[in-house]
Amino acid sequence: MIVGSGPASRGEFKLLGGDVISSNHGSPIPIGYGYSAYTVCCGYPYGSATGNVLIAGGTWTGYEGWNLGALSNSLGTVVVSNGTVSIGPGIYGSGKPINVGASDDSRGDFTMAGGTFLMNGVGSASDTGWRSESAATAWVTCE
Amino acid sequence: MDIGSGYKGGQNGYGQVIISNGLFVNNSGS
Repeated sequence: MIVGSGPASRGEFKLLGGDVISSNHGSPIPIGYGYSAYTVCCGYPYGSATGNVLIAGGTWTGYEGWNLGALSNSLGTVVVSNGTVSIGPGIYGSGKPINVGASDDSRGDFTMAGGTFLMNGVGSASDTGWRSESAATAWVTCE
Repeated sequence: MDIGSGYKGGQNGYGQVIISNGLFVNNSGS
């Protein structure tokens, strides 16, 4: 799954109720990506995509997590206002599951205003499971 | 499953998914 997949595209995923179970086959879900196989032939630039995820109810069980802002100039946003989010442990690998500003010159925003967030199976006491690229912008807000 | 992909992976696409009940299982690759 990719939310905001193509260059300069926008994807929205809104969970209002029910249950989502996602392993995404081994890698964090790109939220705000902008990749195209047609970049070389057709001149589409990478990036500049927007992906928004709203969790306002229900449960999201995501073993592989999220990359917020997965290519240059892309924006990935997750807002949790209610419901339950459970991230990890990764089924296929050991990479960090939550990457806020996952690529150079990208931006990731994570806002939690309600609900429950559980981070499971992170490797060690000093490993939070959260990561940001050094040249990216990351905002994590708990209101 | 690509949400907002543009035609054939092109640009300027828009997609929206809303789930309000039931069970959604995603094991698609990225």
